[in-house]
Amino acid sequence: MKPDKPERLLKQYWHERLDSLKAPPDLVEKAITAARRSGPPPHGVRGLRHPAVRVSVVMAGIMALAGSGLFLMRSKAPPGQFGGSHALAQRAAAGAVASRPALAQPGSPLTFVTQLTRSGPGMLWAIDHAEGQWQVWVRQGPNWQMRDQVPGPARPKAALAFWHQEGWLVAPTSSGGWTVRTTLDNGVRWTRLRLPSSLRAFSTVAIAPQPRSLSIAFSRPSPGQGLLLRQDGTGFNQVAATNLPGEVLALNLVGADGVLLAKPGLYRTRDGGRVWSPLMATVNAARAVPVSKVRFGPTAQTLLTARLKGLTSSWGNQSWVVMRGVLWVRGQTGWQRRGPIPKAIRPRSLAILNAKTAYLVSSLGKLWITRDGGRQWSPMHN
Amino acid sequence: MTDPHEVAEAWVNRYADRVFRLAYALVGERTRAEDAAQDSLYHIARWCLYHPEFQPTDQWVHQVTRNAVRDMQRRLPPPSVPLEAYHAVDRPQEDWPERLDVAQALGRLPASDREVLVLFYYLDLTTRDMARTLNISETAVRIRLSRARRKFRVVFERNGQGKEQEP
Repeated sequence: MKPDKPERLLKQYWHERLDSLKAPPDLVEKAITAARRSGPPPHGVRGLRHPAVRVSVVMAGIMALAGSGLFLMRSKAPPGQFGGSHALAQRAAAGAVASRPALAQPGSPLTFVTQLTRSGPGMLWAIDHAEGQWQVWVRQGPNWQMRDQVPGPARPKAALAFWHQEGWLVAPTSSGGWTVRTTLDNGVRWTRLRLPSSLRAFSTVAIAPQPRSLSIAFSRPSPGQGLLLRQDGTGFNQVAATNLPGEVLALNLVGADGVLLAKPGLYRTRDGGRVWSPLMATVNAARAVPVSKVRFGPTAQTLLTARLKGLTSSWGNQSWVVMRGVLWVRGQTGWQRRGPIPKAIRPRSLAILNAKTAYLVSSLGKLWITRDGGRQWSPMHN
Repeated sequence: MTDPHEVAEAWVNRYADRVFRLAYALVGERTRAEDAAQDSLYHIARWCLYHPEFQPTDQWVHQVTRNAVRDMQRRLPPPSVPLEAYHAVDRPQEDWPERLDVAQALGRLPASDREVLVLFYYLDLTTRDMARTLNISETAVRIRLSRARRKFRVVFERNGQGKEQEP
């Protein structure tokens, strides 16, 4: 069957580019020299023991069992598992090469998940901290795949945001500063942005991706100066914010107008982020109330998004919101109360995968999942 | 030819080009492909040198190369640009202008999708061989392949390509 045009071009592309490629001679030379110096592979390739070693280990085990009177199993290894022929040995070798040591996936006891977000249909992202590294994971299909790793301390917390295929990761470094990594292709390739050293002074970060623009706010836990990095298609600008009210939890900037959510409440700017004035200073950020009544004209939706960041997730016709420990779902017929979230979870981040499945991050950094539209929640990997 | 050194060298020479091309197809960039190929050839040489009874198969070599590429991608730090130059960051640069459309479309696919496309369309592996190479079921291979093909087509056609050009 003749492949369709894109696939035909793909085939042609690779054959044109690669068929004439030759491995550089020094590559072969170096590989052989290194192999001669290295000695035999102790565990084979990627943790693989040589088939002969595996056979002898298994046989030794069987003999030991037989000698101790516990030999109840058949002595012949199943065909294709530890057979002695070259073909079988190679199959065993090939199988073992493909197996990899299991990484601590999001939700496992070794990891501390801090945030969930999504970038497209079925693409769910998680960021966690494990063994001195911030790890970016994507769940596409049934499995989690790691897309990036950044060494750094667990605190302050890193932040991850996506706008379609474009993503940004802002993570703390062990030297006390921050690093920003960006991807344009859904996390396949990342580029590191070199940041000004003045960012060492800040200990919290919030990202606000917008169509054709991006804002990153660096702040301190106490009121005072902060720094905004704004990208508008022509490059990044630094904006010194003179009176940030404290730790910025979420922000949204469109042109000169914007809102931010800090621990003391909601604040607004009209000059691109230099000066912030209280909008709903009496609102306790931990006790969310609907703020959609506050209208900014075109930025009203922006305000709602900023207010409920972390505990809202929308995709297509579906919107899920957790307010005061209760899950609300908006579908075709408006908002519906789906029931309380178990108190043990104390949710920090929410992301829906589809109409039935969603994930929550608990205050302990564990992942919880629902598969029935939010009625029942169960922990993952516990 | 019984000298293990000669045997190992023969195996490495036999697979060098194949390994390098596969690595190149998977990473799409020469320097990194050389790094991954060197790692793979080192593993092959080491096995053949110290276990002369071991005969590498194509499938095994594909697996070694694939794992070396994955390890390298995980290990290497990403390229770094100053903040002021962010606007200049664009899709990965390719030196193949005549096929930039295909390269761009491939650059936007996740590594796992690119991988199945390479195995199927470049190495011409059957789905059964792909299943062995990737250590997954044949059904999973078909699903992945279908998904990768669909994504590639979507990205490719979104780029304004994909319209049949009559000679």
